[in-house]
Amino acid sequence: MIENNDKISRHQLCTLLIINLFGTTSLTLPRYGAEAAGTDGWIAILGAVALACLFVFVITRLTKRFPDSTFVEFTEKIVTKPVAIAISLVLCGLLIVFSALELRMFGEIVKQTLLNRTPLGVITATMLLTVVYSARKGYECRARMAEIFIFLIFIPIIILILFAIPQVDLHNLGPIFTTSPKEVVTGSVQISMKFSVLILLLVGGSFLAKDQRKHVGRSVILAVILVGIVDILLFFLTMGSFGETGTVESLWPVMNLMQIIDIPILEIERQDALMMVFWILTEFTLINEYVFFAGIILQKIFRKRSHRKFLLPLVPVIFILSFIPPGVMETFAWMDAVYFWTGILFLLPIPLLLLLISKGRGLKEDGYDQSY
Amino acid sequence: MIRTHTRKNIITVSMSNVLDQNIQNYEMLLQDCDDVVKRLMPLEGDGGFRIYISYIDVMVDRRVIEESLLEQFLAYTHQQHMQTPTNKSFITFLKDSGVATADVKESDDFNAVISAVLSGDTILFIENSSKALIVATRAWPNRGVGTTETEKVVRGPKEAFSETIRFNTILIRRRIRDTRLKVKQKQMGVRSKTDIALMYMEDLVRPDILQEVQRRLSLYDIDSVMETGTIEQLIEDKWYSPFPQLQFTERPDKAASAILEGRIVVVVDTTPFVLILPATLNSFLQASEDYYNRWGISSFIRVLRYIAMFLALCTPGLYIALTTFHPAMVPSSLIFSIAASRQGVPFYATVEVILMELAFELLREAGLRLPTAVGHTVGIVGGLIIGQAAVEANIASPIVVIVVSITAIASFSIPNDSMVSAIRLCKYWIIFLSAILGLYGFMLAMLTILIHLTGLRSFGIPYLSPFAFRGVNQGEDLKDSIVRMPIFTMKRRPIYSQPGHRKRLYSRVDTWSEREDWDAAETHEMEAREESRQDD
Repeated sequence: MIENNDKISRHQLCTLLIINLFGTTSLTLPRYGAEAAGTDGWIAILGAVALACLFVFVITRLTKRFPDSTFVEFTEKIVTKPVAIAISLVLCGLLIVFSALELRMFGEIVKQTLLNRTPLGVITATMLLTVVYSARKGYECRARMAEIFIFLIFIPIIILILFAIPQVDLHNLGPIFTTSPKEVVTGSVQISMKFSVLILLLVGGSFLAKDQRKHVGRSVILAVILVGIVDILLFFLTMGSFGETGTVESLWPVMNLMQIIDIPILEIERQDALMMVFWILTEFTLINEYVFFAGIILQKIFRKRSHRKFLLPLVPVIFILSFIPPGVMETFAWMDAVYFWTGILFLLPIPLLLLLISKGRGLKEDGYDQSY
Repeated sequence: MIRTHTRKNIITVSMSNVLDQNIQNYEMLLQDCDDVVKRLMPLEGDGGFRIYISYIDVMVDRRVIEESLLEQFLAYTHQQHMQTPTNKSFITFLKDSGVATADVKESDDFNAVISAVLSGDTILFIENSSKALIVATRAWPNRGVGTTETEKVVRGPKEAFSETIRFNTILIRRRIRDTRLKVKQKQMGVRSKTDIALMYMEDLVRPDILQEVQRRLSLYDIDSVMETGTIEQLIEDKWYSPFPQLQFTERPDKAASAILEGRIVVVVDTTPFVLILPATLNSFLQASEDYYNRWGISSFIRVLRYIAMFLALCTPGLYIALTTFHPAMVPSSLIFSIAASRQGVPFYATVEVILMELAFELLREAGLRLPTAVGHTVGIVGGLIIGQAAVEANIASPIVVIVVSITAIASFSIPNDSMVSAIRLCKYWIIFLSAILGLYGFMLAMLTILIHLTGLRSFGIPYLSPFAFRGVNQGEDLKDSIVRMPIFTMKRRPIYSQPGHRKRLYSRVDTWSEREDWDAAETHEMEAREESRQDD
């Protein structure tokens, strides 16, 4: 029989990654782009995508040396066990905080667009339980779900976006190349931190099936570029519709964009709610990713056979954490901070350091293949 | 009373050399079984042998008994000039030339003897022999090969399986005349001793799945197996899933094509339904007619069926979510007319929908069990009188009646009944969450169902393949999923079959364009033949 071995294909890994990257970046990236470089924001986003590709390159180089181990295990081989556990715990903590903040954010968006009178706790709790239910099923099931979601998310959202094109005022997009290169570069670095989901590749790499390990880096970079293209398109659309000030002032510019578009056949007034419906799937996948990997890291640290027993105890922790930020603005600020620190620590320096040390010490596992 | 059976219903009595002893044991076991015919026949030969013959009336073919057994015996007794046979040669004589039928066995196992009688065979005990002869005379009461009642088609064979296992295996064998079609028969049910048969293509079936089926079947000693449903529930992967993990059918053509896809068919005696395993969500939406009609219309109907599945599952939940939580998401003119039609209805939309859904379920159940003549009346009473009267009495709004009817019609267009049941159950879960959390709850309900489905497997095959398992089998399985591609493009067997034995269509035209130019190819071939003839 085809065993449920929690092995996924390269294609599934990329699908999950596309959904997650899209989930973390697309709603807000136009705002960050506009904040950083105004009308030149798209260059900043472009730079951020390039940086993200660099991160992917380093991370996949590292994980490819240890195809059968997760982050916890290979860090232990490269640096010592206590250091490895310390780093892993930090990573796990970050994931838990991420999931809590993302959950809060999700609850706020749902409350704002769909359920005005429902208590926030009900929304977040139901979501969290659904997420844990899915995380319990393991990586393979999540990957299969992603394969279905990719259609449910992208096709409707792209159609909705197409309807936004008539709103674009080309005057809003200019002038270009007016921001100083320094600002653009800082913007790029800041925006690239929004691609922090990529750190999950550190843990996820070991779930690839044996025959799927070739050219992982290449596929993942393609996925990042794909999301980058969608992001830049969204940037143009929001900038074109709202202008610089409008984009900067809005919390979720893409949501606002959805509100103003007209869908010719369906005469409905709440397109943003319609988009929200599909958006739920993206957020679900994202929170699910964080919770699942937090469980996996805990499993590897405590050397248990299954990650399942760690998931339910995480529920109250995440639930309570999600209530700590007093409001939406604070959630945003905290999230930016966590993104920043995660990015600063785990996106480049730690993987690069580990890669160099393991190269220097000649550490690698069987099955290491050189292909990129 | 002497204990004659073990816990597993194995008879503890053994055969003896003495005829009287055997008869005594036999009659003790079959005491008060008045349907069994038992007769001691003295054969008037020189030795004065006695034989004991027994069978169950009506379960046997009387003509076989009379012509091939009794007449032979009589003839034998009149052959006075024949030498007195010894006991041994007598049993050989009976077996070789005394019985005019091919299917004769010797047995020294009392269990086999008893079970043969109970299955409709005739047994003979012979003087001074510890072996009994079992003559196959089975002729069970049956209703022949009927027409399909649950899976009707416009185009395609109309014959259906019936209650006799042998008919059923033959209906399949007739369609696959291949020595590699195996029929592995065993008995299940400690008391019912029901015959079941596993049918599969030896080279196409996945050996691991076959092994797993056999293992799971051997796990239980159950009293009786009355229907395939019993077996289905014993061997399915997840008992708590509302979704069926094995498929049933009463169409031999469907079973045969499933076998040719590398799947295993379980035929059970006494029921006209056979089980097909493994099954995926996709397989429940394939009807056999899809392959007989041309691909355009088949694909169209497939798409329609998937939409129907979505509608049957979601319409009530979506209605509740949209009207009670997010009226702004409904086109404004429509929401006004909905609001107008709901005027005077005393219930919440949720209560209204659940009431009407339950009323429909009642109607369906009532119509199902009643005799056909009365069944129509139920339709009229339910559909016309209650539907219209409920609206006029302001118990339900017309829009809810429409919602319920859409759900019902959509559920009727799904070809498999157990899938419909699953959807009926899940529908209420969606209604429940939608009523609490609106569209968000609706999405949550869909998510939980989807999560459940992604984790579900049927004998190791992911339930959502090929949709969520796309890389497998070179993506070929998608050609027979939401759409049904032309037959000549479906060159590989689906994922159920053994890897390495997946090619099912070899064609002598390679490309589509070549096929387009079918006539030209033919003319070309004819010209070539002409030329070669002239050369000769």
